Amino acid sequence: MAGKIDARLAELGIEIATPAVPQANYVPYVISGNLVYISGQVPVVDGEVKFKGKVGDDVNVETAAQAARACALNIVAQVKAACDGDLDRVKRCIRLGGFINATPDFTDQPPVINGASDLLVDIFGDAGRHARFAVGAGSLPLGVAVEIDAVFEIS
Amino acid sequence: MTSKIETRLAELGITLPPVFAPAANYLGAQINGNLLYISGQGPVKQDGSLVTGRVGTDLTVEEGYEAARHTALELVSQTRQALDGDLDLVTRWVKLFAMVNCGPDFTQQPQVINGASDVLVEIFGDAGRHARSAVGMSSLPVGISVEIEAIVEFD
Repeated sequence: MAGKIDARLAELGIEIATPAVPQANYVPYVISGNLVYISGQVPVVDGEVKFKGKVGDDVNVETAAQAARACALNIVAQVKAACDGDLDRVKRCIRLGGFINATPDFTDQPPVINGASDLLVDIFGDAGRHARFAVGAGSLPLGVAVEIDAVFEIS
Repeated sequence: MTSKIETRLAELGITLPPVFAPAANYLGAQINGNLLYISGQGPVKQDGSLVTGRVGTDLTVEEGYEAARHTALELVSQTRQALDGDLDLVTRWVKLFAMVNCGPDFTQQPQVINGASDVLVEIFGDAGRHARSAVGMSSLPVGISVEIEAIVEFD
């Protein structure tokens, strides 16, 4: 039987991809008690790194918000794996950490990370409402425009 | 009884660096329940000096990797102090938040931070496998090359 969240994903027309596995001595998530700590996710779409560039220079806010959404989709993929495929076990998204590869003078971090926050609320409703930070980073791995990590509470 | 982790450190020929004491109104580490939150640490060498400089300009990626390794060992020193000297109490390295001091176009943060991840797995085995986020920062305190904060689970 499809779960409530799976049904919601179908309504939204969202497919959750198979999550990426890190190629080094770390793991995509760690469960401690009822909390899932998810490694920083980058905008990998269909196995390819997308949304490279510097926000405020060659990437605009709207495109960066799409990059943040792509990061959030990968976060959902990781939390799904942490819940053995059952997203109905998600009790709450506790926190997002949003990093934007931005020019030094860039100040529109919040609307960029809204791309992730909005998606999580679309999918999980009130359980998707989280605390967060959104900051400019001087640079990010692979030159991606956005990286986001997360903490979720699961049952 | 001999400590497993201290024996492992000896096998690896690792001497932990001195514990850096914060010179302000914050703590090196804080315990809540079975989680230890460690403040951002820098690359402290055995003689107490710090690795400084920008990775990719002043330091090569390999030197950055060594700086990250020093930083992880400082996290282990902090953990040992917080757990009253007993590193065998560690059940899991949960999460690293890793910052690399680098220029705006640097993209090899993961290769640098692998220096931290690799040594934690060398010392703690599977309990050393953590979630992590790696980002580039345009500057770090006193010019250190790497700063990492961590969450550690213990019994």
